[in-house]
Amino acid sequence: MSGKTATAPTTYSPSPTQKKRQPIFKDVDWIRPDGRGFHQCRPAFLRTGAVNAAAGSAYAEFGNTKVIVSVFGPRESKKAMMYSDIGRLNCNVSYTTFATPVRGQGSDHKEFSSMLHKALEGAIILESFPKTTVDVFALVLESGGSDLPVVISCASLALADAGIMMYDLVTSVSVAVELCLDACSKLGDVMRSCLKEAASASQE
Amino acid sequence: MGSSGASGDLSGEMEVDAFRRLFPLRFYERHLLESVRPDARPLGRARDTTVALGAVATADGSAMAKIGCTTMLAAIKLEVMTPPLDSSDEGSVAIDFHMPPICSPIVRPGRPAEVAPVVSKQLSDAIISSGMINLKELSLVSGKAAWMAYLDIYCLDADGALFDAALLAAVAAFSHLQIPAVTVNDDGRVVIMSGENEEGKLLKDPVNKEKRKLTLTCIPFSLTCILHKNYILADPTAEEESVMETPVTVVLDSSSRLVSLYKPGGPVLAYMSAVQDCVALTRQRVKELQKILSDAISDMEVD
Repeated sequence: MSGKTATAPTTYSPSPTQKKRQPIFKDVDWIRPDGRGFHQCRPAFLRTGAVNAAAGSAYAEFGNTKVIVSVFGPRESKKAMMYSDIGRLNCNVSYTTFATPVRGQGSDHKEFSSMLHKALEGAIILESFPKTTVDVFALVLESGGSDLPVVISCASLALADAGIMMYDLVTSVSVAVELCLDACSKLGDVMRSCLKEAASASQE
Repeated sequence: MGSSGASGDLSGEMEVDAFRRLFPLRFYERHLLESVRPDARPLGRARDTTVALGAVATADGSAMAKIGCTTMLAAIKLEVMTPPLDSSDEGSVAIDFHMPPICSPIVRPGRPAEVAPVVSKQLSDAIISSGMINLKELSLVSGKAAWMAYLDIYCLDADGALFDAALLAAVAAFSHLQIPAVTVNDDGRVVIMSGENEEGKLLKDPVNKEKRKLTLTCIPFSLTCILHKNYILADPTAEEESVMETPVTVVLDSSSRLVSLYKPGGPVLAYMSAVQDCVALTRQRVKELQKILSDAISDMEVD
């Protein structure tokens, strides 16, 4: 349809504009919009083996945030790379155009790829695959908040599904004000039980 | 195989995998002699197909289609545009096909897949020339505002027959699409009507008072076949596509009229009889796909 014009027509979304956000910390007895306690995470759904074409993959759903991560490798590094006696990790996070309520806003998060890299590189035993590269690609299907933590947790699950040697699983939770470490450990337990389920299912 | 001990059987199994990797063409030809494929399908049968509507809650219409392992997620978002002067009472559709790096080991983040723009162009040609969508239904205020439907199809898992799965997902997303009820507010912008009664000039066209669906006529369905010597394999996997390189894609509409025939070169030059066989296979497949799509739509409506 846009055969004639070289420039795409400008369009706007008919959704009503966001009302001005009310200050939320006014009231001491403030409850979160979805009724959760301050230290409570959303119910999580995690599944490995989402993508058949990848060495390892995982799908995570935390409330409205849905993420797929694929892991390819260890495979040959690009020819331009110099020799390295430890492995390399390559990460990329991208958004679908329909992930955000306003079309095309996902490109605002270009720093997520390097943040994912920093989160995972400490946990992977890079010496176990010298000269090669492990690629971790994430696609955010729907962005319901707290995207990067969900991507990190899903990525470490995908790495485990691919059989990449790691010191431990990486879990991640985002917090607004206080520091909360038991949420991360609860999430780690959920992820371990998901992997056990996947391993026992494949043995049958 | 042969009657050997446990270790003998194990080495027999490994040989099959190695043979498959080293001599893929001979591996496939041994199977084709028996009129079967490595996944036990007969030559003319497509893989198990499923369609699920409403996969993306934030989009106005969406669908997920799976053919075997190939998975496509299609979503339509509606935005308002000013229609051009020569088609002032018509809306517009923009179709885009993406292959993100998760779907296949051959796609890298900086370098998009070669097939992605090809499939994208094929898709928009097939959908527009089939006449499935009446663009006048996408008009809001003649000359001032019309809907622009952005259809984005993402390949989540690439295992052959990308065009078939993408077309199925696109068609399913359009049958799920619901146009929201809108009014024109005082600034002349089109906004979605909220539940409560708001002050605003209602559009004279009563159609926009409530959500409505598009009427779809002549829905296109497709089947990709691979030609190899005298054999025709329907619905190839990615491995089959890489080994035998002559694909033929036939798009028929729901009344079995030919919408498009696409044969991009390849080592096999096909006689008319081969092309007619492909069209016959596609005709069968159209009936299967029509049933699958109507089952998915009625499942949605029951909910």
